[in-house]
Amino acid sequence: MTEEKKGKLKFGSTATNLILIVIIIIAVNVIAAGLFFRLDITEEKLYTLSKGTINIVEGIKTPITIKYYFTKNLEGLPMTYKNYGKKIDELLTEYRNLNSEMITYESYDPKPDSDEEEWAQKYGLSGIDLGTGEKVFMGIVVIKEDNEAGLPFLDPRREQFLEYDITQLLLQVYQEKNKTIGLMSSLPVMGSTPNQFEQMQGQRPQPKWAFISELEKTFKINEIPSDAQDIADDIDILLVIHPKNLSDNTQYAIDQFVLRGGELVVLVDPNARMDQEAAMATQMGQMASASSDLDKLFKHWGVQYDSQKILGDLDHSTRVNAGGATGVISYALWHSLTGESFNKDLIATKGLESMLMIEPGGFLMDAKSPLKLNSLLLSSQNSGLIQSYMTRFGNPVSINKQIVADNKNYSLAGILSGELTSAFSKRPDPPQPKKGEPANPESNSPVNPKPHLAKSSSSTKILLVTDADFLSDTFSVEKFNLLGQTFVQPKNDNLNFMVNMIEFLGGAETMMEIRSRGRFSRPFTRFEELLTQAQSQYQDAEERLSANLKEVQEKLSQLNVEKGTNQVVLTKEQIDKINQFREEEKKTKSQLREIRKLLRQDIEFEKTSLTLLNLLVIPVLLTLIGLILYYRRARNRSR
Amino acid sequence: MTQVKALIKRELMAYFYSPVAYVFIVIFLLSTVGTTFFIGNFFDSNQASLETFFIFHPWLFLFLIPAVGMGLWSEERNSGTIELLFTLPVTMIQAVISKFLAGWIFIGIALFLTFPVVLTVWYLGEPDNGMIITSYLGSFLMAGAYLAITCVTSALSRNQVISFILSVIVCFILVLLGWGVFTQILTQALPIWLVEIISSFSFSSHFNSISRGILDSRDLIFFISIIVGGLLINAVILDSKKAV
Repeated sequence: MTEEKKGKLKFGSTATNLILIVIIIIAVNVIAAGLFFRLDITEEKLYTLSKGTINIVEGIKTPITIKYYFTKNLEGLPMTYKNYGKKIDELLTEYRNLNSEMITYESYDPKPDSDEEEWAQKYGLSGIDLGTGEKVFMGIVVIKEDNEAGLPFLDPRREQFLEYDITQLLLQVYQEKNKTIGLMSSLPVMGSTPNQFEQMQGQRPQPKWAFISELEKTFKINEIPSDAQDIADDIDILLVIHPKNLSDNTQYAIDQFVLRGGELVVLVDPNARMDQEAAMATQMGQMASASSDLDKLFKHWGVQYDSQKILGDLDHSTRVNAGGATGVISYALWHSLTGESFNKDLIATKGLESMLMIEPGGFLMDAKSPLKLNSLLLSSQNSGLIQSYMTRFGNPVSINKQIVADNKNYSLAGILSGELTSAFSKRPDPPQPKKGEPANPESNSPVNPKPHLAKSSSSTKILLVTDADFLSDTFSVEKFNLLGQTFVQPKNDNLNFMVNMIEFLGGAETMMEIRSRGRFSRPFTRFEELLTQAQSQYQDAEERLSANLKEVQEKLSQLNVEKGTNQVVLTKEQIDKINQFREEEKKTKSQLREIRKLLRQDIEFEKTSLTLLNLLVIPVLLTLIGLILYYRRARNRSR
Repeated sequence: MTQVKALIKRELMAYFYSPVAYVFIVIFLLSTVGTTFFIGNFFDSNQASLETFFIFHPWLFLFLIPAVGMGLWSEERNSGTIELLFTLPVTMIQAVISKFLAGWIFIGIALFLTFPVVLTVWYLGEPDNGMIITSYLGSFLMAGAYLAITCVTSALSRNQVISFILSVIVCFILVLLGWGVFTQILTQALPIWLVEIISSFSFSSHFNSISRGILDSRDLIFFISIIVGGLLINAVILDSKKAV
């Protein structure tokens, strides 16, 4: 005891040495904090932000605060949310580290009835009810001095877009001015609230299309009427969707817009299912066209597009359920595009995996066209055009047969670029007001008509897509309700493609470099395999049994009906029959239960065996080795 | 160098001749694997990742590592063999390093024997192998750091139990400093920047950071500095005892 005491109290070498060492340890670590390097070894570089983000974040020159509200300690918080929330925190830390001078990062845990919760709600971050009365918060707010915006709730299902969403949010807040899109659309992409009359005719209120909501995150959208005679100067990108019978004046306005350097995105469609007007008119017996065109302009630009013809592609047909006796067939007018259909040279399309085009047109370029075509989506050579009206009369099978392949690769979407001249020699006369209608001051020629542009001052950029339906929510996203909130999940790359392309045109190319991040989640694929195996094995049996059950239940209800009419007492026969069917019903139900149990049986078995193997194999081996060695030594010693 | 190697061999052989080593490894395996499946809800997470395996290490090591290291010096001092040790043609530093390395290698072997969980996770899905590698590395380094501290406490006392308890206390503090709940309590009393500095000296924060799949020099330096510093302190203490 005294020994140690003496050692400790002795001043001089020991004590000072010890203190010195501790100081050095601390110093080393503090220095290391300043000069550190890191290597991201994860397979998908989960913690490395993409170049696009790095560029954008490093370019931020004014102070920005990122506030992250996450109820990480909430009781009953599902594991997936807990893990995802943690990863978001880590990712945001990365953002901060990229530009720690300008970016402040604060994370909060908004406990119920706390100040933080109040703030979260003030910022518009919605909590999601867990059903236990507790709210989960997992949202971000980005604040600049005079501007703020947020991501109210980060759904784990959108994790592929996490980096994209966060960078976009930062950009949105940081950029002073968003580019403006002028929207001219005959389809209700901004949503519609039909009046009473229209409702009686069958029109239902529609929400804003999902792709518009996405665009609104980085662009300002101004609606432009379809009879506009001029495109305002503050419009950077003109988005023309399903232009029907545009007047010369309007086509002139578009022509001039392109010549002055504006970027044009036009979606035409030979047969737009989303064209409610046409649908209604047809219902009322009128001949209505659900097609769109920009005839004068296309002709001048050398675009060969026939608005009365739909492109069918036998190599890209989509399996659809035609209902009834036909069942599931491959419908060539619905194009399922994968891999080889996408232009691999352009960043915007390189990463696309699947798209669905609905009864699109197809276009080719005149050899003499002044514009160059950079095709984005290509059909196979096993494709051909058929008249649109066929869709009204034929059934899917006969329509497929009508397609005659003409060995051409049609474009379904492409970028046209080059110098252009005007399609008009001069501004067309203002439209005359129809007889009996008062002169509409708006449709008179603009007060100060701009000088006629005869040609473009620089290379133009026009994005042409020959389908409009693919952007509607029905064909591009899956909507689901999670605890009171509606979430939108892309079904394919339709939305991605459109938003990417528009951003590309809008110069926000950096956004496209932000690849979809690898998924953080790696599920047990083995169990998923087992499940699908089991399902295919037992599915037939399950279907049979379910069909059986239905039959029996129908027969039972039939008997009940019979019984209801004028009979007070059941005959013995009827009673017997009812009992018989009830027995069958019970038997079938229990057989179904058995099958459903079998589906999971293999999985449970593997779980248990894996647990046991892991726990016991090595320990048992070691014990054996230990015992063997012990015995050997015991024997040696006893000799 | 050869002396160090020889010493290490001597120590390691000593480990494996004693049944204690086998018992220790079995307990090590059962506790790490057991916590994964039963407390970590490995299957429920539906994630082909070893997160639920590694997450318990800082807490399990708290008891497992001191168990390995407690006897390293205490035993020698207690039984007097330490005098024998220093008559051998080895320097103090070499002795310290060899004992430490022997212990560290032993723990490394135990860690290696957890490989069935890796096989399991490969079988069940597609885990991120980068993360698995860095997590094992982090775990090994962290174990080294724990061990270095235990060496120090072991040199301080002749009694193995005291050395064990001391080691657990010091390591516990170092883990606690990085534990979420604790840091939250601290933030209520201290400014945030101070709390962050304090918690950056914890095992858990650096281990969590490494096991995410990132090799950050700060984490590596942290553990290595604790190991080196610990060994130096170890040497100084033994020196002071010897001098008397």
